[in-house]
Amino acid sequence: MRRTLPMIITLVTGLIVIFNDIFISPAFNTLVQTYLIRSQTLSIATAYALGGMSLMRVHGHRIARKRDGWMNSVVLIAGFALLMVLGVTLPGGHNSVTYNWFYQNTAVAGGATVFSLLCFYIGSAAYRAFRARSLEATALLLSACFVMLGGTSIGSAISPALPQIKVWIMSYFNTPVIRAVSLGVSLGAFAQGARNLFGIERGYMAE
Amino acid sequence: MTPFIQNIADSIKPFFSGWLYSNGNLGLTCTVFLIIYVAALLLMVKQARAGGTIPKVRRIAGLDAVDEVVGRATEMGRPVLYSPGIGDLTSADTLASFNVLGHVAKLIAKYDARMIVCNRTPSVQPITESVVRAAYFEVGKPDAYREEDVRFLTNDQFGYAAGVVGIMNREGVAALVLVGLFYAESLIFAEAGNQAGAIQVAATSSTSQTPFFIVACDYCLIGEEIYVAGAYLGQDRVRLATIVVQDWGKQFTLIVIVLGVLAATIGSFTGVKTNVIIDLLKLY
Repeated sequence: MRRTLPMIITLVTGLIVIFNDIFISPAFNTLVQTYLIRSQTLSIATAYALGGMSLMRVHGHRIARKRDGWMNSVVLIAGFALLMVLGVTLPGGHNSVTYNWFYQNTAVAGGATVFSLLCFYIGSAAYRAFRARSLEATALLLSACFVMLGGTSIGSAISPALPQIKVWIMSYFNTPVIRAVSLGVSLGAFAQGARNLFGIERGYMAE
Repeated sequence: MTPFIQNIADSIKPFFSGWLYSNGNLGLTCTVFLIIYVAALLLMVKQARAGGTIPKVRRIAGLDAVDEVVGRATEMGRPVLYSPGIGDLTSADTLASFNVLGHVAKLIAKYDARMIVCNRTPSVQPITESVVRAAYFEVGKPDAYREEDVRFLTNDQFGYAAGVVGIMNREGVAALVLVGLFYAESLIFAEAGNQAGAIQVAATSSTSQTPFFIVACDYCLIGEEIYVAGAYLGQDRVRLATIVVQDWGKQFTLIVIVLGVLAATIGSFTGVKTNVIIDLLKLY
């Protein structure tokens, strides 16, 4: 039962969602809108609470045992507590001006900073990967040069042909390959979903 | 639409319009394809369970490397870092990742190595915890499981990226296994892992991130190979049998594409403005 019940729940709810998209039926629509989506929302909210508790437990232990970098855990827990208190006590909650100020100037700014690292990582990855070691590698190098130059304003300044070459490479080489891979991916994703639905694969049940 | 096929479409429309969504005139085609695909899947499962022959799956270097990667980390005495991606439970990549995680966790438990699992989605956290814990139980070392090694970091995409990179550098990971749905943070993981000297195996279905993994990782699974991972690693007959259905689907689609191209080419020469293949697909 411990093994069968989750499989039955998975199969039934999965089939309801699939049938809701295929068949015109107010009953399926009601089931999905009223029950499934709400229960999904509740599950996700519970998962957030569990995730927060896990975070506090891990960092609490780190602080208690004064492991390397324990001060970072203090900052994390302090920030967590501060935003939680602000969100709960301030009028307007997470929509209040003060809350938004803290969020925009810490989380959003930090995220933008990490995102900006991509620029340098792209440079280092390109420097390491684009080497003319073989015919295929040379083709990759040349096409990367054309695409990178054609996609920037300096490429247009060097020659108006560069953006056109870039568009040609992206349209006639890149797009067909992406479509071919996407075709396989969509069929594979469907098979993966079907395997989970029918209990053939039970990785989500730790089996 | 071709007049002959238009007549057929007009005659079947009243029958279906009351109970089947047309979904941009592809409703019937998608439904029929769905039924055939699922039936083929279940047929192959039945054949595999009955002991029938199943086609062999070709060697996938990235999946063969998983054991090597874990072994290397064990020899170096440094942990393996596993990321199931940033997708939630609705993502097929995340579901595929659980299968790989189970296999890697069993190896880790068997070799007495250490694995740190970093989760971005809170709903994925309890499942990765139970997968890793079950692996330790299966190997007979329940006490070796460390709760703090399966962690939820943050729901924020780049906060998660920063957290994983920080763990990579602080813990000195020897191997990185990235299996799941990734977006812009994929290159951050791969490059940071490269700088940390870790051997990397990556798998994602995202076509925009696969090039970054191919360039920066030691082994990368392309496209639908991620969905094969669980069956390939476990060498389970039943699951391997379902892989051939994916290939059948691709072959069928290829045939339809070739027929459609031929029909369009013939149409352009004869001056006929419709494509019979497309009209047949868009019946209702």
